[in-house]
Amino acid sequence: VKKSNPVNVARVEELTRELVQDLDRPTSNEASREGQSAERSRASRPDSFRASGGKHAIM
Amino acid sequence: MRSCEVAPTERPKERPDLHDRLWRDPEVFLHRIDHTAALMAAVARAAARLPGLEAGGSAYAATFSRVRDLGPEVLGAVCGDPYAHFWAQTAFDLASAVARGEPNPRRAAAYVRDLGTEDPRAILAEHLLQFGRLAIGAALVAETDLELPRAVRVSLPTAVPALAAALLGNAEVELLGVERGCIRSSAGPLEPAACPVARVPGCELPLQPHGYAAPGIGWSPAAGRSTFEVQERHRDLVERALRLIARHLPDALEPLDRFIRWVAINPVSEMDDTNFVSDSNLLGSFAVLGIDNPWVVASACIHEMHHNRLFCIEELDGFLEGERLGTHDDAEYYSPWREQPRPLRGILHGLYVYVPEARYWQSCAAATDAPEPALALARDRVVRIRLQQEIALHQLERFGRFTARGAELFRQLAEDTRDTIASSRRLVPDDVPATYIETDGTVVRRRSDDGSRPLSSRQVAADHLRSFDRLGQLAGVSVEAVSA
Repeated sequence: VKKSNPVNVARVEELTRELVQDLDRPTSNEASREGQSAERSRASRPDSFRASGGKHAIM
Repeated sequence: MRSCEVAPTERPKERPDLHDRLWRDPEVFLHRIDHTAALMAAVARAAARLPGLEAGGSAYAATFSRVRDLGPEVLGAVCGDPYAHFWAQTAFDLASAVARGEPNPRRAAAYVRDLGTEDPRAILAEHLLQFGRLAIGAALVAETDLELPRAVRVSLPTAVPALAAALLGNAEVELLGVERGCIRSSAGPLEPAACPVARVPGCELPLQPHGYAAPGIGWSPAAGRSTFEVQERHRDLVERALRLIARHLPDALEPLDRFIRWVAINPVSEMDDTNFVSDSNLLGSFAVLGIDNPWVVASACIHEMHHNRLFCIEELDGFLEGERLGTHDDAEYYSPWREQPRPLRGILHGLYVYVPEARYWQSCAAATDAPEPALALARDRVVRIRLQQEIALHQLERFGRFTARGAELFRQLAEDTRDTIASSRRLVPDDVPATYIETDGTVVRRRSDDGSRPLSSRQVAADHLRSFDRLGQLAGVSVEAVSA
């Protein structure tokens, strides 16, 4: 097993509360009617991305 | 043995906080581990009330609770695993989709294909079951027994999360739990086999070919089709590379040791576009080509580890603005590293990872005791990287739209890049012969397509620009490559 990086329990709890709120947040359509941004958490979680050097990057 | 001969970005900055955030702060990785744990916890709290999941949701919540109760050390070991990051992000995105009645998130695309359903509830139910893999890893780390509330079906071989190990074989089995250090399964007790591990003082890197083999990931580089035996044959090469990193970019060794859980070595017999690759879904891992040249493998490890670091920074701070960034929908920008247009996010990643890679090659080029082929390669890389950095900087300054925090970080990245370019010019001011690496690791002179004349580094960069800047995005711009 690699060196341990124990979780910070207090921070996990704080982040969990924010994420639960995000799960309960209305959809973007509903949010825009209410003048809110439902996409706050999503904006901080960028989509999947593969950083690939390509076949000839080194050759 | 000398330490790093060239350290152009080490001097104090106007904004040391931003410099640290970009290059040194371990918080970037640690926050990601905590965020993974929080995603799991948030899904556990929501799972029991999500429509269509009742029994599976409760079973997951109970299993997560068991893992969390094993303590912060064990939870940290599990959440630092690349599969844990993928699992948690995907579970949260699916739970969001179910809660809001939205379609499947893009992250679940492989599940949609493999399970043959568009229903996010059905996909989430299957995905929650797969948490059993992580729970088994946790129980093994904690050296405790565990009984899963529901069996999890896996295809062997597959990695055991949180351990540098895998279940080998070629079969489908159901995992039931852990008993006295063995995994209970429908095929009887299974003992995890330890990966080959590249070890040097201060750094251990497990060589794990089976980390891509889990439902929902949906792709694998060639290494995923290889074996422990193939990885073992590359162990000495990786150790030689790590010794070069210890000498020429010693700052990179600690994060490689602490945060990279596994590396997969792609055999040179199966070259493709994923020779060198980091996947944002599998943070804490990467694949590199096992080319028999430790200077190249060292640079690749530095390069890929920093892709991982930037993925973490992106999750924490945001960087570029826009919905489409990072997808291939906005692949419309000339990149000095590719023949096809790239998304700006790809160019940003290139700009970022080539700062430490440039520092590494500059140190190699200044090491007069290195063999001549390595010095020729290093001098070429020193010159060519600075030409590419100048172009990438131009592309991002012209086209990039940044968040407020992203703009601050980008200004620091631009300053660090310019420092690296300046130190490159001091070290190798003139043009040098261009090189490339044969598949056997030999460094050879690069020649024109018809073989009639040797090429220089500037000529290679200029030829690339002329050939692939199809939209003329660099037209009229004064960069060193253009003047070649």
